[in-house]
Amino acid sequence: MSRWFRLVAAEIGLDAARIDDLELCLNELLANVLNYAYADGRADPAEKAREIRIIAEGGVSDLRVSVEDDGRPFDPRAKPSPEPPGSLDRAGIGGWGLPIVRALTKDLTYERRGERNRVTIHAQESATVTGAALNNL
Amino acid sequence: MELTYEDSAEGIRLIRLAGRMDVEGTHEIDLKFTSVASCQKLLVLVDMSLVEFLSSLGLGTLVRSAKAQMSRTGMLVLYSPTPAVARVLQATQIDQIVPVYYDLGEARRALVPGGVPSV
Repeated sequence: MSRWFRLVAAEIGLDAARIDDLELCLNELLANVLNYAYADGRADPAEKAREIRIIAEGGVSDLRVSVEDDGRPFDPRAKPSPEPPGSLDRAGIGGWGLPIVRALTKDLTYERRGERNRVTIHAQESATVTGAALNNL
Repeated sequence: MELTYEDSAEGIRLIRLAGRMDVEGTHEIDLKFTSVASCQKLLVLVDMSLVEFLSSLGLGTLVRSAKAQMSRTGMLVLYSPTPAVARVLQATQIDQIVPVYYDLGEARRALVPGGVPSV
């Protein structure tokens, strides 16, 4: 998946830093789907084959990448942002995936289409982490 | 993912990581990293200059060992992250609680106040 995305993004003409950031965000979104969309911790022999789609749309100035799955409804925007850690004492070991996505992208949108979740990230215009992004952790 | 380490005469454990700290890469080194970076009180310098990719899972591995060292009154610092990795540290504000250095001498002095010979 990473290799495919890097090829597509390079073909579009995205700079290396934004490719790195979006590849990471895509990995984080996909990990969320794999870990939570279907999981109840038990193997079910009757489980149907699942489908996850990754869709890239737009061009160098408005690239959007979506992860679409047929798992349980999950709106990542509804997940509360953790407080910035402030100290090592208070820093969590996990839960960094969505904060990373929020900080490294311009926008994160969600739709439930029928039985499918579709999460879309919008590329930033540059790879700089902005103050606004930090506040959105 | 590759992990090598060495202990210096000044008492610093230098851990060199190389590769992608994605899900697969982090799983490859997680146990060894925890073992060499967390299991006793240490002054740990993690060379990140050859880490091309840092996922949230990899970040968790680094933070867990940094917290373990803090609780043992040791210390863990990061050295020379690549731009992509630095952006993740900045985006999560981990760079404000786990020291990040780009100068090796400075990193060593942070671990051993009073200064150490340069390498």
